[in-house]
Order: sequence, then C-alpha cells, then structure tokens
Amino acid sequence: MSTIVSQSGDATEAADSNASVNRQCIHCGLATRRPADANGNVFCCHGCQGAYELIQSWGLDQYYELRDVNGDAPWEPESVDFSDLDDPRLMGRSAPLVVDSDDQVPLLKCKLAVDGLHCAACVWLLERAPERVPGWVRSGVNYHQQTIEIVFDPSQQKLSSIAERVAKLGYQLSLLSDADDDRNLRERHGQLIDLAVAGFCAANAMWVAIALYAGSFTGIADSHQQILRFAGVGLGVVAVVFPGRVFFQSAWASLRTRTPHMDLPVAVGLAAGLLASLHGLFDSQRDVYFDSIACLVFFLLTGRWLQSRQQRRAGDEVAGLIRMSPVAVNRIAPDGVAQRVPLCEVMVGDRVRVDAGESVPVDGQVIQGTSTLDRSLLTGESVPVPVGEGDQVEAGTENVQGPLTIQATAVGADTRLAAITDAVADAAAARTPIVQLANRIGGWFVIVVLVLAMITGGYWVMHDSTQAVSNVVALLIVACPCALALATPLAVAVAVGRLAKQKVLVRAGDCLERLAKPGTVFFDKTGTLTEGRMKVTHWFGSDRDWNAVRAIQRHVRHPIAAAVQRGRPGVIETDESIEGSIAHVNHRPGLGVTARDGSHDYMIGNRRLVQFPNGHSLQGCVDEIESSGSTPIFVARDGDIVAVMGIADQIRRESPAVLTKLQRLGWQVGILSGDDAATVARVASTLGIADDKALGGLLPEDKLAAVESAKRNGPVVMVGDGLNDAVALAAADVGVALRGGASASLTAAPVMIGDGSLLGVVRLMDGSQKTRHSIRRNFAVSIGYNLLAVALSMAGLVTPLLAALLMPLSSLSVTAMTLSQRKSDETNNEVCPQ
Amino acid sequence: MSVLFIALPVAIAMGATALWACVRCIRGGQFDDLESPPIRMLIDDAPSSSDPQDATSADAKR
Repeated sequence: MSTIVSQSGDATEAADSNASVNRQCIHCGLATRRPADANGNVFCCHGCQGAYELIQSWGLDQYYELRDVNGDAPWEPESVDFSDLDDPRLMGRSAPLVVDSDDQVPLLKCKLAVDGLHCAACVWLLERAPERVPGWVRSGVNYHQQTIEIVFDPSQQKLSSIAERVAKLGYQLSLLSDADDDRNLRERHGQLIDLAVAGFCAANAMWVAIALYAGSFTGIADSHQQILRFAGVGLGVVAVVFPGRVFFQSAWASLRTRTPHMDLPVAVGLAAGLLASLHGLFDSQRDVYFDSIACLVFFLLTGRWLQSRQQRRAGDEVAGLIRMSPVAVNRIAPDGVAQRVPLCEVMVGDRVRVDAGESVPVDGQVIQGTSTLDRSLLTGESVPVPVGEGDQVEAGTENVQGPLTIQATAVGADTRLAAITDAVADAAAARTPIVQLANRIGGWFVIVVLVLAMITGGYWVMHDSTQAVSNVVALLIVACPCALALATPLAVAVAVGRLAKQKVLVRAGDCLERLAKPGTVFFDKTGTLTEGRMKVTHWFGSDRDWNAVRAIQRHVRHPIAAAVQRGRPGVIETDESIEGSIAHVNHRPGLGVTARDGSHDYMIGNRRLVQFPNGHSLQGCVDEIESSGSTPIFVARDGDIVAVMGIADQIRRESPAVLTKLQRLGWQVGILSGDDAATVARVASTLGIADDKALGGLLPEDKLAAVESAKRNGPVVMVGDGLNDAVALAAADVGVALRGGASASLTAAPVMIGDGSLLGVVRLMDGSQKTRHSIRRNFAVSIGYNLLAVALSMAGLVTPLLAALLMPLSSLSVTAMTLSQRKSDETNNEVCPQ
Repeated sequence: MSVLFIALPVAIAMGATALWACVRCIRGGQFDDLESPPIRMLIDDAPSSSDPQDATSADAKR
C-alpha cells in the first residue's frame, strides 16, 4: 500500500474545514486536514514531519517503499528524558558491556527493548541509521523479542542522544525489565532440544521399524531381528524418558492436584506402550511398539512447539508492568541534595522529587509543589487531576506539570501499582485452560488402540495364529494418532500466521478456540474507541486571538494545550508566534490558563474559569460545539469573551463500522471506561451502544467485576490499551490490546493488534471462525481414516508394510488440507475504509 | 558377523552427532530469532537512495 501516490492528487485540493478528512500523513498515515507543504507532502503533525525529514536527510527514504504499514507518529520529543541511559548503575539488565572493535577503540554494547517495530522496514531503518550517526557503530534488531542491540562509541556519542534520534523516528527505547529474561530463553531452548531429540528418535525408530516389517515378510535372521529390536526399543525408551518426560511431569501434577489434565491419558498410553515393548523385547514372539511411541512423542511436541512458537514474546504477563515503573528516581538526601538512585533503594519515608513528565515512582504524600497528574493509566481518566501539598499520589501516575516532592508511604510491592500488577497476574493465572479436543482424544486414542490390539491379537491367535502378529502390528502402525495430534496445532498455527499478516498478533492459540460462540465484547473508551488524543474540533474567533491562545498554551503541559499546538481544523498553522510577549502564564488545574499577551489579559478555560453569560452572541456556536460532542473552551480577552473553541477526543473513523459488524456476528457490545460517565454516555449514544452496556467512572476492580459477571453469558472479549484495563484484559477470555497503548496491557493481553486499528478485532473473529472449521474438518478426516484403517486391519486385510505406507497419508492429508486453506483465505480480505 | 552389527551403531552414532550439533546450535542461540534474518536478506547492503529492485523484493515478501 503506497500512501505517497494518493497524496499528490489530494494536495492540490483546497482545504475545507467542514469536508470529510481526505488526506493522509505521509509518515504515519493518519488522516489529517492540514494541507500539503511546499513540496506537496502532507504531515499530520510536526513529529511526523521531523521523522520524515530525518529519514530523508539520512538518505534512507527507501524506508517508505519497504514498509507495508504506516509508521507511528513519533512521541513528543520533550516528553521523554533519556538521560538515565547514560548511567550504567541505573540500567539493570540493559547495562552496557565493553566490546573491542577492529581499531582498538573500546566500544559499548547495550541491549534495549524497542517499541513500535511493525515490519521489515523498521528493522531496515534501525539497522541503517548507524551509518548516518557518528559514534553509533551498529545496531542489531531482534524482531522476535522486540529488542535492539546498540553498539556505540561512548567518546563520540551518548546513548541518550541515540535514543532521542530513535524516538524522533517513532520508536521508543526502554530498559529491559528483569522479568523478560533468560528464564524464558532457556525454556524455549529446552523445548527445541526436546523436539530435536524426539525427532531424532522418531525418524530412526521408523527406519528400524521398516527394516523389521520388511524382515517379517521376507524372513530375517534372529540375530538381526534382535539387534534391530534392541536399537528400536532403545530409541523408544530415549524418546519417552527424555523428551516425553514433560507428559509424565504434567500427568503426575494432575494426579497430585486431582484435576484431570490432557497429558494424563497421553502419559498412560506412552507408559503402556513402553512397558509392552520392554516385555516384548525378551520374547521374540511378541511385538515392540517403539516406533509408534517415538512418533507420538514427536508429533505431540511438534504441535506444542508450533503453538508456542507463535507467541510474539514469551515474557510472562507481568514483565511489561515492571517495565513501566521508572527504574531511577531523584531521592532527596537529608541535606536537601537530590541524587539519582535506582528505585529499589528507596525506602518508606524517603523524599523523592518527581519532575514534570516523569512517572511517580512511589505511593506517597506531596510535601511540596503543585501539579496535575495524568492518572489515565491507573483509572482511565482522560483529564489530568490537580494535586497539591498534602495530597496522596500513587505510583504509576504521570506528573504532567510541575516538580513535586513526595514523601513515600509505600514502595515496591506495597504500592497500588503493584497491587494491580498482582491482580493482573492472578487474573491471567485463573484463566481456565481449554482442554484441547485433540489432547483429550489423543491419549484415549492410544489406550483404545492398545486395547483393540490386544483384542485383535486374542482373536487371531484363536483363529489363525500365524496371522496374529502381523495383523496386530498392522493395526498399531495404521492407527497413527499423528493426524489427531497435528490437527489443532496446525490449524491454529496457520490461522495465527494469517492473522499476523493482517497485523493481529495472537500470542496464545487457544484464544481462537475461546471465540467459538459469540458473547460480549467490551471496549475501553479512551484511545480504543476514540483517537486517544484531544483535538481542536471547532474554533469561533479571530486569527489574532487564536495565535495568542497558541502562544500561551505553548507554556502549558496539558492535553488541551497539546491539542491547540496541533492546530485547528482546516487551517495550516505557521509558527510565526508572538512568543516574546507572553507573560504571567498561570495554569489553574481543572479550570484553564490565565496569561498576559502584550497589552491584553487572556483567560482560556472552561465555564468554571470563564463566566459565560446567557444570551451571549457566541451562544449558537457553543450549542453547535456541545451538540457535536465536544467540550467548549472559552477565550476571554480583558474580561470579554471573544472566542470559543471545541475540544474533543474524536471517535476513531473505523469504530462505527467495527461495532456494526460485531453486532451482526451476534456479539453484545459494551464500553468499560474509567472516564466520567457523561463522556462515556455521549460516545455510547454516538456509536449506538445501549446505555446499560456503557459503563463509565470504573476503577480497575470494577472493570474486573464487569468482565466476571459478563462471563456468565458466554465468552468475554476485552479491547483496551491502558494499565487500568490490564486486569480486565487478563481476566477476559480473550484480551485484545491495541498497540500504542501502555506496554502493561500489551503483556496482559494474549492478542495484540499491531497496526492499532480496531478492524483487527473483526479480523480476529473471522480468523477464529475459520480456525474452528479447519479443526473440525481435520478431525473428521483423521478419525474417519482411523476408523476405516483400524477396521480393515482388525479384519486382517492390511499387511504391515502397506500399513507403513498408509500411515503418513493421514498426517499428510491433514497438513495439506490445512495449508491449502491458507491460500484461499488470503484472497478475501474485507475492504478497509480509507 | 554381519555388517549390520557395525552399520547400525555407526548410523545411530552419525545421527547422534548431528543431533548433538543441533543441540549446540539451539543452546548457542541460533534459533532465537527466526524473524529478522529473512527480513534482512531482502534488503540490499549497498547504501542507495531508492532502487526499484528493493521495492520488488519488498513486494515479494508480502
């Protein structure tokens, strides 16, 4: 998809404030009303313009051809301070290591987490950027783990300035948390090693078995038969004891806890087969089943590995929460000197200074300073709340405005943030695992086959003892559970791969099975159904006042101020501000701003700050603003109201279509939001969601309760993007996190939508439907095959060699069916609104 | 003494050697990131502003 082509045509059209949005930002693809600049390029904000120009100036504009999705709008550069990256003491696991380069200059190497990777172009851009930055030697991106390894020359370039450049491109570097570490890697390695050993055993057991079957036809020397049997059983034992131990471990655990588990029958089948083989080893009249056992282990493990391989990051669900809390804080020593220390050293009673733009690291009481706190992460409130001396503040909130000194009353595990984190972990752990049909059937299947083998053996011994052995063997070979074991994982893996192409990342395959029946979909409001950032939707006033307002708001850190900086509809902003003459800027949290611009006193704020008299000439404008769902902000110059603007967090363009589609599929749709009930009700009525399903003013615990109660009427899907959703995301049957939200929710949710578009939810539902059909078809085929083949071999119509040839057919047919489906699916994607 | 008594252990030993090599590769982290290398392969090393070939290789990837 190329956005560049569509722009050149649009760029010539006149901007019209009332027309529907018809341009896309070259860099991030967001719809924008800003007209093109002199070169015919359209940007939605300065951030994107900066990123575009940086990429152009480095000569890396090929990025725009390589990528298959749009980039992110870069973060506001001033909102992040990377200086901690220059102090190894504060970096934990990301602390740089010294590496030597070719020319004996000591370089530093450091591994960081990177947010915002979505395709090959990102990898390319981040790996080519070092060529253009002196002192940044090279970088290696690991797309799977979403990490980047940066090698740099500390004498030329500070890591913090590299991080700033990367942020300008729209990628956020952060320190690795201690949780997403080697333990997961070792787990993955162990899984692969088990798979490799199982594969080795299965393959070798197969050729040994074929030699034995061939021998039973043509005759075979006893000594040869014996060595082959020993080799085969040896391989079978290795397969069961080493890679197969995972089945016995979980079977043992399920016995101990008295909860039925899918591995129990598998383990019983394996043990039975193994004991029968060992017994048969010392009695040449009996058969050995090592090949079936080894294959069963291998295919079951393959299925499991296929499923877990799709997990985008094997971090546990709490890793991201830890990453969110700041790792370094300014602690104020008793002599009043602030010192940067790692967070873990802060004790209850210590005083810490939190500057504007930093997260609050501890629960505590403000002892100095006033500011506003953005609590959206914890509570979902979209508007910052004012705090002053004596107020209680919580870890995980964001200090928006001015420096605060806080006396800690709770640190680390005792904070409310930690409590929420624990709740997320509990909710995630309490998700009842879906016992997969294949695993339920697989184990019993083995037992049934063994019983049938005994029956067959008994029957043929009585009727025709010469045929007994070969018929039993044929049955054991032909009744291959491989197709059963592969059916679900393959279907899920294909679906997950297909969804990943559509930028829906499914980290746990069982989500697709959980969506089998329609239930309830809950959406968070801020940033999920809406854009998540305030925009100026209306402006009724003179240009001169507008410029004054912009100049004043430049001194304020607040979502509304940021919205004003982004400009008003249909007007291209020039930056010729009247900067120099602004004075006495006084931000009054919850009310607005007062300031002096040259010779005029301005008041910009809501009704509580600016008295709006009845019958004012702007009344019509105010009505229009309110009826469209925006909030009016008044501008008074020297005491007279001269202008009014509308501010709103606009509803995403795709929201209505997605909700309609979900309702058509039979899902109930609701909103769970921490924002105030009136705002939520307004959004709900715009989108046609029933009032009783749109809940506002919720704390994380309330969201959890709402999810739990909705679970009684079918599966619950939660779509959200903040820490306040993390608990609900983890508790819901399927949590869907939109990218661009807090990393907390991303790790709590088993599904992530990579391009941040709500259409991903619809794609997920489609994908799960297709998966279910695919699994059912696979089961039908493999069970049908087995019934037929087992019946034939019990009747003595199948020779062992024929059976050995037939056996792979079932697995192959299932595989081929599943994979061929992928081709047909790729052709029918729904049309996305542009 | 049949050749089988030599051939079978030798065959298993060869397989086991390959298995050991595979395990070493896994432990060494060669299988940790299976996503970036195929992406990198599609990208030209030579710095270029915009080469039509790249666009086609990027298309092929999709």
